Formats: sequence, structure tokens, C-alpha cells
Amino acid sequence: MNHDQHPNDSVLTQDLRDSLCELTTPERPTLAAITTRGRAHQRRRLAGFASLGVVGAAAGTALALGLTGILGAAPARSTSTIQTMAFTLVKHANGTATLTINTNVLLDPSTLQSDLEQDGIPAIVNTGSFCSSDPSPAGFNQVTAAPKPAPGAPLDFTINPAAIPAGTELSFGFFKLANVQGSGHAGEETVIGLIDTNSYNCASTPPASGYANVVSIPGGPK
Amino acid sequence: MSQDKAGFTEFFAASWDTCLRAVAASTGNMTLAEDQVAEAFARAWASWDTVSRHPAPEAWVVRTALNAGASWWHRRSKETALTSHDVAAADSQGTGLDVAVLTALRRLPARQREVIVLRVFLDLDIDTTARQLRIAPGTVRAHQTRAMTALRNELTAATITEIER
Repeated sequence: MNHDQHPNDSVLTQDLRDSLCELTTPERPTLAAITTRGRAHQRRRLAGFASLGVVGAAAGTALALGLTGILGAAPARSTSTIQTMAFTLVKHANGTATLTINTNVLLDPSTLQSDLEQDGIPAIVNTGSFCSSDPSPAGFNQVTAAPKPAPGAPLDFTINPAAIPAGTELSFGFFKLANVQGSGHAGEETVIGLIDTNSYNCASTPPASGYANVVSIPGGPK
Repeated sequence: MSQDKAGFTEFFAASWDTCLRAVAASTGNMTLAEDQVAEAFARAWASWDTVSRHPAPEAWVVRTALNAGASWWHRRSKETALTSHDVAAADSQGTGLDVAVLTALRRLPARQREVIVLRVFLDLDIDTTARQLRIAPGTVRAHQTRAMTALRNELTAATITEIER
């Protein structure tokens, strides 16, 4: 038994497991239902590639950096590019990555988090909450640069994973707010920061403007 | 593309109930959990090359389902403000799960609840839980200790209240 454990923890653990076993579950869906839904995901990923191409053309240069090499003659399935409806993550030869958030599509935080991880970018991604450390670790400005999005345009970040200090990771928070940064208007806000992996707290509201090592950007996924 | 990606059929059959129970216990809503877990399995099927190599595929499904639910819950919470107790009491009807357990789980902070789901319900070891949640093993222990203390206190209080009635 671990020294932190209460003597009755094993009893409580068993009680919790027993309680879970008593939970009556409805009939499992058919495999065909799951695979049909899975195929829909794959189709949306492919459709996301097509729609992002349209957005990129309409938005002019904003997407050009992130999508260089994949909107032209290069094949869509580049091993260094992950594309979904909500975001595109491009890993460049120099080790940096470009993350482009499509502000018109609902974002799945777990998908973005796992895809960032796959590209060597440790991060916690949340919708409706933001995790931060106090004090916040130094080095954020070397890790990523704040985008300056136009209304309705995608958010575009360049991230340098090599600059992420050991024991830290990026934190992304995507919010829908009734009053964005005191503007009096409802909308989306994206907050990014660097946190200590072993010491952070999460809150359901964005941090106050000017919080160290945090960038707040009006706009974000729906 | 073949419908039967190698190993997925067996994984789906063996893990559905476990994942659904874990998500339902965490969210307190079986109907919602059923949809979240189906969605998570669909995503697992779509990304089976990656998920099949994951050290704990069931944990991947549960976290994906819970994250999908967090987005849903955030949207819903803006429409209907309920206390956690009200939510647990209302949504637990028909799940078969002890309301006191459900209420106690729902009152835990999200990270502590995730640790309980992975450590207790999925029986993952501390290192695997830490990797899954991207936190240090020591942090997992701390969250688990706090969560178990809170659960013990909540359930003891609930038992006393029940006896006094």
C-alpha cells in the first residue's frame, strides 16, 4: 500500500467497482453502426481538406504559410500534415509546426491534443476552460507567436517544439463568451499559455488580460 | 476500405460495456454516455492504426468520450443552470447506479474524476494513467488521494443521512 493511501481505500475502491458493475447498460450498438459513423469522420476529414482549400483561397495569404506544399500539386496525405475540419497541423522540415484553427468549425479538444502530441508538441487542450500555472514558466515567446487574425479568418500559430522547456507544456483554452475582452459583443476567444506540467490549475473563465505568458485572441472555433 | 480493421471488432465487443459504464458513472447520464461512447468508438475505428498501438485503448476511448461530453456539457450549462447535486439526482434515474456514488463523483474536480475513472474503473496503473493524462505519476497519486478522501467523506455523510431518516 502506498504511504498516501487511507487504510480503507481498498474497500472504497472495491465499493466503487461493485457499484459500477451494478450499472445496467443498454444493448451494444452494431459494429456496422459504429463503422458507418467512423466513415463519416473520415469523409469529414477529407471534406475539411477541401473546405480549408476554399477558405485559404478566400482569405488570401493567412493560410499560405501553414498550407504551403499541400494545396498545390503535393498529395493531400503528407506524413507531416494532419487535417481535420477544425484544424490543420503541418510539421515543417526545420522542426517547427504550424497550427491553423478553422474558426467556423466545432473543435474536438481531444483530437487536437493527441495530434499535437503526435507531432511532439506536449499540450493540454480544453474547450470552456483554461489551465495555467502560477508562476507561469518562462520561455513562452520562444515557443509560439501570437497570430493577428482578421474577423472570421483562421487562427494561425507557428510553434517551435524544441523551445518548449522541459517540464512544461502548452495550454490551449477555447471559449465562447457573452462579452469578449470587454467589447460588449458575444463571440469566441482562444487563450494560449505555457504551464508547468506538474503544477497547474484549470478555470472555466479566461485569465485576465495581461496574464504573464498567456496570449488571448478574439475568435476561435465555434 | 475494409470494415473489419484488424482487431477492432474484438476490441469493440470486449470494451464497450466497460467504457460505457466508466463514462456513465462520470457523467451521470446513460443516454448521453451511450452517444459519447459510440462517437468515441467511431473515432477509434477511423483512427484504428493509431489507437490500436495506444498503450491503453480503452482509456483513449473513455477520454475521447468524456472530452466530447465536456464540450456538450459546457454548451448545455449555459442554457440550464443546475447545481451538481441537482444534475446528479435528475440524471441518475434509470442508470442503476447508486445516486450517492454518482453525486460524489460529480462533485469531484474534473481532473480528480478522470483519475478515478482511469485508476479505479479502468484499473490502469499509475504510470499509464500519468501518460494518458500527461501529468506526473506523483500528480496522479495526489489527485487520487484527494479524490478518495472526498469520496469517502461524501459517501460516509450520505450513509449517515440515510440512517437518520
